[in-house]
Amino acid sequence: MICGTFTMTGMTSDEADAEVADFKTTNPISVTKKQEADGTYTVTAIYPDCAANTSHVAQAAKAG
Amino acid sequence: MKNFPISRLVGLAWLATALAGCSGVISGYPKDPADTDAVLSGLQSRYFATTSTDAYDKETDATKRKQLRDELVGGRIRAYDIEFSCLERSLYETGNALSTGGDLAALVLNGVAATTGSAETKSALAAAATGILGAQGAISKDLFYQRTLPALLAQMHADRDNIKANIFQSLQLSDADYPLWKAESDLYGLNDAGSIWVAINGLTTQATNAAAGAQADVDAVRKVQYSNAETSERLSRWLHPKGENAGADQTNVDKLTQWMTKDTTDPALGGIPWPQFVRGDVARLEADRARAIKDLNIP
Repeated sequence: MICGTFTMTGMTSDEADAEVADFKTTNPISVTKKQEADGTYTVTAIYPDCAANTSHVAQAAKAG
Repeated sequence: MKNFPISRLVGLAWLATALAGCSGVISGYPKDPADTDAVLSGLQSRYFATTSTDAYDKETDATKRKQLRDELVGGRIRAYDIEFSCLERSLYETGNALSTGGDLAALVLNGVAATTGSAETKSALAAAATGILGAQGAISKDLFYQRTLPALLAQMHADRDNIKANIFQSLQLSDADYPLWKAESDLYGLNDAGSIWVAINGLTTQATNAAAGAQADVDAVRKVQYSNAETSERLSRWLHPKGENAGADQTNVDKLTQWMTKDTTDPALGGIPWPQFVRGDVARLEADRARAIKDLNIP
């Protein structure tokens, strides 16, 4: 069961587009592409929350 | 006798025979040359009677107190070992005797519930038996029992060995540093470690820790740098035979995700999206990708 948030950084725009398409095949709640200050792109895929006793990192990432 | 299931009667009668001092024919075990019942009875009267500790309590010489303590502890350990051996043999023989079919797990639990333990223990065992009957459905109860029993007994042995090692180590100490009341506390732990319920608890704890460890491994790769490593490129070419921007081949995606889910070397892979696995610039994922390429014969 995939849960929480996954982020991939340091991509070109084309690479990010391909990753967005790939992540969409994994049934996330959402997938976003964002350009960073250094010109690279970050892709973030968000899945349902993890059970409270299994992960805290994902919750912290979302809160942040 | 009203409303008393016949299976419970069978289990009760069978276990009563098997538990009677380990004196029955035990398949797979060598026959104990000692008269187990007599030995156990002697140990009980000598080391478990209310007066067993009188000499120890009255002794004022430190060396002699230590000797008395060591003898008491050694005698009680031997008794606990005999009782545990009886339980183990009975459980194994039950598994062998009923392996041809039937409500094995329920029989055992019901039988044990009826023959041993406190009211609370009996209630818990009987409830567990009912739960097995109710929950297992089409799953073979024999299979359940045969797969579970070795793990439970291995856990019991491990727990008992650990506690015994600690006791033997502590017996090196003086009586002042390891008095009998401390030893008795450890001995109670030794006795409990031979129970099915403590073993189940231990296995559950292990499973919980393993799950927490796997989740920590997932958390370690939630944020990754994009990788252009050879393993990433090979996997990506295989997953996108018509080009990176043409969409992934679902057949190959399925093969990869099934491999990730079943991989036992890195159990966390089942909790990671496959794009993160393919492109994550993480040493652990790099090793996992190399293994996937080999296992799936990816060119």
